[in-house]
Amino acid sequence: MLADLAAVLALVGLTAYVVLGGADFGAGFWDLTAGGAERGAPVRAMVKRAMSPVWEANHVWLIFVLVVLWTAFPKAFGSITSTLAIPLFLAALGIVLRGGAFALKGQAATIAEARALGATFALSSVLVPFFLGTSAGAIAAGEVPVGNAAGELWGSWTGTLPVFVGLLAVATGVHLAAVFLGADSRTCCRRRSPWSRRRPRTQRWPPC
Amino acid sequence: MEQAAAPDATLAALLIAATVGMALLLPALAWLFRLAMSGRLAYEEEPRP
Repeated sequence: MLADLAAVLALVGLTAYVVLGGADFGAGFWDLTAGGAERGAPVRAMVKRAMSPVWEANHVWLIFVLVVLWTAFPKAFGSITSTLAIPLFLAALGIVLRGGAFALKGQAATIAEARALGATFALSSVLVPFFLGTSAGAIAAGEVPVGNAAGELWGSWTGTLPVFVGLLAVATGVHLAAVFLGADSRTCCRRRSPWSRRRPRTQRWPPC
Repeated sequence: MEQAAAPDATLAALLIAATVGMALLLPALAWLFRLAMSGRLAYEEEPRP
């Protein structure tokens, strides 16, 4: 009974992370594919405006899931993190680089620095959900046996199912972000420009 | 799941701690998202005069 409740708690935290953190990562994908400096500026500004208030709070759920897992299911946690050490390490590295790049993007001294930080942020936003997805896929595929590093270090997460789940995780985040950014841009326009409804329909990116 | 789980005392302590933590965290998160969605935490591109 208690173990079931702890599992439900971990599942609730995981769901919250997938939905909220997934939207954050997906916003990074839209940043990556927004286009050149001039053409992509409105999209990147929208991503920054939408993410800035909530991105740190969204990633609280990852910490929550990790703590619940290692406290409630230590054997499973040890087996998972030892066998899947590589994708989990790459995901953790991506999260650190992504957070640093996002926080420092506005403080770049030169355009080259700004571009490097922007590229770091956008690329890691795509790779982190991919590696987390491959980890989930590896567990689902039964590639993580009980025991310390009992599974294959590389082979466990590079199979068809893990890679597919990784790509699915990226696609899910991209879709969530598109829905959220679309709703956020409408809210922004209603708030900043009372006359926005009278704008011509050809104007795709209102300057919110 | 029972075999993989920690002892009952650990699970009970975790569930109690999580419940207390959620009681603090969830209202704070709800307030944060409410402020963000209504635009009151919007990031300003231009500095205010």
